[in-house]
Amino acid sequence: MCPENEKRIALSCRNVSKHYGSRVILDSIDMDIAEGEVLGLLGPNGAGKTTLMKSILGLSCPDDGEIEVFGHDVISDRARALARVGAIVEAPMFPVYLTARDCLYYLSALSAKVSDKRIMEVLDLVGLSEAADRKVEGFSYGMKQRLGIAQALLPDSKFLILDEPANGLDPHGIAGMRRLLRKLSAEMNVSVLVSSHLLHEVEQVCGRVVIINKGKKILDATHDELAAMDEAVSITVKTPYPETLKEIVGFISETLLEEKDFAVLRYALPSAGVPELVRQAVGKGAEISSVEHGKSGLENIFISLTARREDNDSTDSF
Amino acid sequence: MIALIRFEIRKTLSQNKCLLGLGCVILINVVFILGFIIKKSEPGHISRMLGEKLLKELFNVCVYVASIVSPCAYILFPVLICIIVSYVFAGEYEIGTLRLTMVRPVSRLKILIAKWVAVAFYGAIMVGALFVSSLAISWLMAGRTGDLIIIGDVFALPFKFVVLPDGIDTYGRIILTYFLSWLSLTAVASMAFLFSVATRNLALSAIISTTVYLSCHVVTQIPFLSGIHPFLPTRYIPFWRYAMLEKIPWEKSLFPDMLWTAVFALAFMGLAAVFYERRDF
Repeated sequence: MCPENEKRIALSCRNVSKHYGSRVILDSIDMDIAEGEVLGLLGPNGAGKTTLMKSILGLSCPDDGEIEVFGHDVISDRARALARVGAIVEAPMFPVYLTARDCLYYLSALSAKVSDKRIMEVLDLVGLSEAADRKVEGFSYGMKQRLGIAQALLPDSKFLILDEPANGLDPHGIAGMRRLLRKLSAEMNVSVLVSSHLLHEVEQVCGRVVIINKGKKILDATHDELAAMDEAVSITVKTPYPETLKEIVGFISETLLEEKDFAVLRYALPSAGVPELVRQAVGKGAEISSVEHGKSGLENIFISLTARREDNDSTDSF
Repeated sequence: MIALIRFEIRKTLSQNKCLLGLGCVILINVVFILGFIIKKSEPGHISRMLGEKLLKELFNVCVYVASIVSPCAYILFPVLICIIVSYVFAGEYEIGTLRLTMVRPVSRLKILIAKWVAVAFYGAIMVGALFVSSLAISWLMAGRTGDLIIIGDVFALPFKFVVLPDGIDTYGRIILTYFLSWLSLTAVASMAFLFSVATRNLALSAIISTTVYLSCHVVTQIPFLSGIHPFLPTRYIPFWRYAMLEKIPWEKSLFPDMLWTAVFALAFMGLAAVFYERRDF
């Protein structure tokens, strides 16, 4: 799935599964991230994003599967695997009685020795240079988030795992983070795994998007593939419908309607492909009640893929 | 590992809660001074036990500095250490700062050891602060040193009193007692780490570890329940008190008790490490 196959793999997840009792948190997740790639990890609340990130960082131990970072297994060779990994998981909480500079100094020293100059550079990068010698106690949530990003960048991270990094950031902070991630990826070949509910930001920053729902990966698409999916055709068919409808080129997803008498099948197709799609569907025995075409955007793709279905009582509403 | 230990020590010592220990040292000194003053004016049975000559010797720097270590090493510091351990591990887990350390390329075992070292360092500061403060305060109050009169009751030792003449050996004895009491505190810290890792809840960890320690300690003091004593860590942990015997029973009591204390401490830390390794964070 890597767009640039010649690049080294920063992260490789194979068949990663995790259960809490009978509850499935992660279900056979396969995922790769190449060096320099920015991957957006999306999913409704409780989909398993944070558990996946924790598993990558060795905070949570998968029941099954393998996770490698830069070729090192995160369970058996954690120190090497995470040597150049920076992360924010959930809200970054710092010892409030230390200054921002001290926090960064002590935390980054756990990975490698870092000069004071480098610490100040990173603080400057996240807009906290003036607060370097202030205790974290007096920081706002947004400032703590910036400090969290700063600690993830130190000492010289080549792979960033950012769980909701834009939380609490003001618009300047969000724009700054967007620029920073682009720069890190393009100029410094840093790989980034970022989870966010700000889909507009994900669209702008990420070269690839993975959506998980109920612990299952339901989409893994590059920016170009998303753009193609963006232009989608939805046909509403009477149920039961022939399973062969899913074999038609461009098929994305099916959504059973509340009444269960009809299902909406989505295909990534331009408007010119609508007549051919209808001809093929009818040829396969489908009873079509309506056809819609339009640009959907990541938000609509996300909602359609993770919407309430018969086998999915997840969260497209409160 | 050095960076991790430095970080943990810095965090431990930077917390305002750590001033609690210094507050305890001041408080116990105040209570002890008042106790000494009252005893001096109303000696009661001590006067009959020691006689007039020894009674005059009783209120000096050596006696004060040696006596004050007993309540601190038996009760005060172990309780304090249980609370500090709860802050250092369960408290950090609850707040979320533990995760920041755990996402770094350091093993959980190293994190646990670094935290144990930080708490041991804190314990050393508390013991040192007690020694210095009691020395200074007793010097100001009594204004003189003298023979070290060890009252058996004060140390839960089976004799009425022992007199060690003023001199370098006596000071060595006192310093040895303080040092050993610090070692015994590190064993209490190991036990507290087990409950802290197992519960990952600040209040629960502090309550369980202090309750377990105090319950074991109380039972150890009851001769009627001597059958259970060999199985309780508190039977061995106060090995520091043997330094207050006229002739230190190194081979008969002190070393064996130290060894058993080390075994208990290693078992507690081993279990804590197993809990820590197996849990998701």
